[in-house]
Amino acid sequence: MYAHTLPPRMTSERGRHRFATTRWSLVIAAAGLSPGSAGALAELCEAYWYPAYAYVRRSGYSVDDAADLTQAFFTRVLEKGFLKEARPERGRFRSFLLASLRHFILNERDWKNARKRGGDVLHVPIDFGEGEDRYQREPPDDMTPERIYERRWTLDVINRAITRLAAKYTASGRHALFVRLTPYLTGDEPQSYAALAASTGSSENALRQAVHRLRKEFRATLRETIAETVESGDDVDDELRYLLRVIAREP
Amino acid sequence: MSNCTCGTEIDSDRAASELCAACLLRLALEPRVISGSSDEAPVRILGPVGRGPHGTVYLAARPDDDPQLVTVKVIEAATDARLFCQRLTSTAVLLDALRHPCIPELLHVATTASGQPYVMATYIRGPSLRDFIQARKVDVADRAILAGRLCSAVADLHEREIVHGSLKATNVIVLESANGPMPLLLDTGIVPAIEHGAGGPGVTSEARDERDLHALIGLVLGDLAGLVEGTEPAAVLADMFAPRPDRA
Repeated sequence: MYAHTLPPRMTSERGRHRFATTRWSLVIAAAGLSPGSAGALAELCEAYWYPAYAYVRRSGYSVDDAADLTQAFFTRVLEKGFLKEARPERGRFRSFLLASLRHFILNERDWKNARKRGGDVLHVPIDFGEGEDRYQREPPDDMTPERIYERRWTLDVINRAITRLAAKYTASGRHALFVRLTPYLTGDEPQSYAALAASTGSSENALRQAVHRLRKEFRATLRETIAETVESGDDVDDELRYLLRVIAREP
Repeated sequence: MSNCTCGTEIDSDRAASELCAACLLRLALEPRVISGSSDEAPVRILGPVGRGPHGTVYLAARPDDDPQLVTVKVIEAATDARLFCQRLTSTAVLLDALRHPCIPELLHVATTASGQPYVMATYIRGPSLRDFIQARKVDVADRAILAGRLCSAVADLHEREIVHGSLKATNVIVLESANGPMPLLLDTGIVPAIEHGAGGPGVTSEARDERDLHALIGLVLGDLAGLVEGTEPAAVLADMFAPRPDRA
């Protein structure tokens, strides 16, 4: 009989979180086949369709063709069995989506077939008018399709987290506080706490405490938002560092 | 387009926030507790106090019975953490042996739980060289003292083959002392260690020395002597040392 000893990592605090389910891990565990995982995949596609659209537009497709292609791509992604075939780059939803999109564009037949189907699959509701407005505001530089995809992905992750946190503050009647305190999150003081206290009628100490709480909540919300797109909660720091490098490469 | 508190322009296609994407991402990476050295308790991160091109600096508290505050600089630049720590630890050992009054020692070099390299140093509160000069009327004698001490500190570093790598007015803190203003060089060796970990081009030690010397000339002639572009250095120096009644 063999004596089994668990590796130390499995018994550690870190190990206890190792198998925590993320939205993306749920999708890939069931290969998008269970109703729960198909719905989770559709939600992720709905949240991150714009980087894909920007990639297609920056690849040189016209507005109409890009809309057509993007819709066909997401239709294909949401088809049963697609995830089973698309094995590479599954560790991150971000890289999975980009690799699949590149492949999809190269295989025009897939695109045309996807356009013909569609009755029995989930659709991603996409407002291409809004997408094109956003695309027109992109800086007119020589950013490659990959760079624009990753940059937009990063900004959309952040926007999603801010929107969620702002909604929470608004729901509890603290929206104005949220707006006033966000510039203080990094430790800078655009206006002294004393001046802010005088203009808000709060005490300096109460404002410092509120900034501390907001910082903690923002940190948790952004990490949760990123965790939805990676396979394991342990990957969040790596993904954050990757996104930071994406932004740092900006001119 | 508005600006973040760090000065970066904020993308117009953003949900309401007055901070740029990089600052927001760094907040989520902010460590809460940093391990101390092998025989010390962890330190608690109190909050960010500064940002630079290579990382974020946090103010941190040591264990309750130790009132000393420290700074923890978490390196966010792309670098191999192991190589970075190896290189900077060698520098820290040399600095400890040097014990130069203008070069604070590095307390600890290691990686966070998530694998990012960090550097711990004693927290020094004081104005940067630029703020010190702008906020006070620093006379020529004090400027000369500062220039001499800076040159001596860099010479002592180079004698031990330590390259500072990031000499600039914001990396020099000035403390007032009975013997005149004392400049303290921050971040010694951090940039060369980042470059080492990034597998950067093999730069000779002479070239690195030269980089420090160019920066030092900028500090002495630009920040201390007030040389502006287009001015002849000789004219500035002549003006600095010209006899005046108030200097008699």
